[in-house]
Amino acid sequence: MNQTLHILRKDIRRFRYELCVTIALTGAFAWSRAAADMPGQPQFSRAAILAGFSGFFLVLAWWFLITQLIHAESLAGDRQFWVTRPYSWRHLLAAKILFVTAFVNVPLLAAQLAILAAAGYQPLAGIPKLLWMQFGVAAFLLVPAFALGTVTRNLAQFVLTILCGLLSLYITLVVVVPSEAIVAPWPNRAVTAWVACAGATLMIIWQFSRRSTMACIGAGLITLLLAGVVYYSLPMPVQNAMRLGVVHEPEPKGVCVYIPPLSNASYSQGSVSDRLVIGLPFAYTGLPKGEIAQPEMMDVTIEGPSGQRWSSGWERNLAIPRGFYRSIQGATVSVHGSLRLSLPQQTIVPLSYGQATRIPGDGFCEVSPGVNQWEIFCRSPFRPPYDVPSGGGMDIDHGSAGIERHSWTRLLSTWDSPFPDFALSPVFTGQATSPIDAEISLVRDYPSAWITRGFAGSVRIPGVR
Amino acid sequence: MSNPIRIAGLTRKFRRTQVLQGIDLAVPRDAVFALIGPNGAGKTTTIKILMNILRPTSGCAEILGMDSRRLAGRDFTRIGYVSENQELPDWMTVDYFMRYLRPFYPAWDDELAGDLLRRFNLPGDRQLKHLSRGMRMKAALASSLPYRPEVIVLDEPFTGLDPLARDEFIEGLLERSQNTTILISSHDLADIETFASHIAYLEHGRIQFAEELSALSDRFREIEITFDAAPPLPAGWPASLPASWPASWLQPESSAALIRFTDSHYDAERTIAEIRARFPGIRDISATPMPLRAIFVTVAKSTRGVAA
Repeated sequence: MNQTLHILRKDIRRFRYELCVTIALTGAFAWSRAAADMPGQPQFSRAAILAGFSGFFLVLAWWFLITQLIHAESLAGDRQFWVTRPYSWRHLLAAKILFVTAFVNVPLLAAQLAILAAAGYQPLAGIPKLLWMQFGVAAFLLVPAFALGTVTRNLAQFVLTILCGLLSLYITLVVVVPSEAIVAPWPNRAVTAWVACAGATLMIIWQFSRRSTMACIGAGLITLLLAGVVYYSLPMPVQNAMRLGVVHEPEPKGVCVYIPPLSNASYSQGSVSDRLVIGLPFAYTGLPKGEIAQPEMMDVTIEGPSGQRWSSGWERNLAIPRGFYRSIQGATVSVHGSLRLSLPQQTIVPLSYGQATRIPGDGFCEVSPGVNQWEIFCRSPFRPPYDVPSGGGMDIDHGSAGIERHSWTRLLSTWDSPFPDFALSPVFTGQATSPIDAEISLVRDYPSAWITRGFAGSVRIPGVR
Repeated sequence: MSNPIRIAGLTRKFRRTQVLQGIDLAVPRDAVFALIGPNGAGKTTTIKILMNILRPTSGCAEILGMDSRRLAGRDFTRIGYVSENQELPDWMTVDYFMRYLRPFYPAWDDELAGDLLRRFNLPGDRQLKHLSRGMRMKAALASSLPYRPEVIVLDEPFTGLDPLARDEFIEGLLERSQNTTILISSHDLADIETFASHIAYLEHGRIQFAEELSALSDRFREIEITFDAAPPLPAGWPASLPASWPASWLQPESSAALIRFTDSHYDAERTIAEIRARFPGIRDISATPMPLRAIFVTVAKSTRGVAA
């Protein structure tokens, strides 16, 4: 412990100026974020712009500080004075962790508490969620930077590695990953965070105890690969188990899935040219009154009349190879498998004009008059108040009484994760506008339950035109 | 423990390059043991393996009875290490550097530390990055002596030092390291000769010889044979000598009535008898002791000739 504190004191003395800058940036971020989150602030107010910049530079300052901190007792290379001195690697690592905790995590936690308090929330009640946010910040920003610092010798190597990483990520996203898969479901994101954090932690411990840089770089690359695989293709049973773990309402009994007799499948062109997407006409019995079932994933086996067989595995859509489709088109085939359903629970909160309305999740929305439109400001802690605003309208013909124009603005919230969103600030805001004659509401569309049901039946496969 | 440093069958490979090819070495207690050899011979690699900065490919190195691969943390309270290319914490002042290191060593002697700073004329308030190369080496040495290490390992400590700084460095080292075993690698043979008690010559990743310096000086002689007339030279002289030519007679050369070579196993009676038996018409034979530098050059040229 004495050695830990001794090294910590040395690092504080060494990085006193960098620490001042980092803490000042944290303060600027907290102040500007709190100011920007106030109702009545324009979307791109001076405070919001300052909050954006200070948040960006705060992350850069953390990375710079962490890199310099690790490089003060560099682990890569063979010329460092400290490796032939009586340093204990455990004390050295403990000193570095203590430094980051004291000068990155604790100030950030204080800033988050201040932002919550400024927005009128009870800061202490949010401590568990704030700790989860700290885990997110550590898993995605701090621990990987720490790990990278242990396998690089200087700042130039560190920056170059990050630039190469960003370039690789950009190429992967543009070339390899389909655009609809870029934002993965929350179980994938959560497991990715754990994988990244665990892999980077393993790297750090390995490098501090053994100073085996090449082995650690290998471990880091494997971690990146694994995190990528988990992000894009976390096995469906794992996703389901995680979702089940956080839906507390009991699974409704008696819900059955079937395929009506003599029904036809539909088809459409898939996103991959050599595949066609088949739609199966599922029907349900035993649903609670007023609820609908939403197919999420399916694992289907199709058997043709001549014994042809094709299985999908767990997929969102049945994208069938054209060759197999041709062999069964026009025929009645046997289908069986499992269907994963969500039972969405919709809550509609009409927003009152000229005043604040409470929305689920301890937030509120305020609708105020603007220039020929309503201006909507929503705020909620730990997750965005809504995902996407949408609008629409229709004309209702009342005959001789004339045509009534009915229009609406809906703020749709489909957030089904129990965890707070990954961000530096615990308060989220959203601003939208609505036509002056529209009805405004916030629609919360969360699944109340996830169920898996087996099914078997037969359908006719239409011919391809 | 009679040999604080023992190396057995040590090899090290960097990708396809075999740098060390099975080194065996024993450094006796309280010796000042010099490891010499040309550039790229493997001196620094040997020392880095000994300090657990590098890992051996095979074989083992022991320091103070510990396997070097297990050397860590507290073990370094008994070992001092100074290297020419060591990266010091440049932002620290000399005083702060010493103060910072003090708690790591239970046996740290403040008085000795102060004495060393004065002895080396080190400015306490100056940052290490603002010191000259010689000053930095002295600061590194000054920080490696106050805990009275049992073994001090110095890797090319004289590189880039002016003569005065070298003298101060050596004096400071010797004055304050009684009862300490010192292993030093260096090119600076003239300085080594003044204070080393043992010497090992490393070339092509192999120890060519390792012995006490006095024994080395005793067995190397430059032999000069003067004849009355031009001597009968062996066929193929001097490029390809006959098999009967003694292997310890190195670098033979001749001019008119003179033959000169270095005997690496000189024994007055035996050598002179053998010369007389081989060469008739000798007028005079002289055997001159050789400085270390001359021995080094002769051995280096001979081993290169063998390697070629």
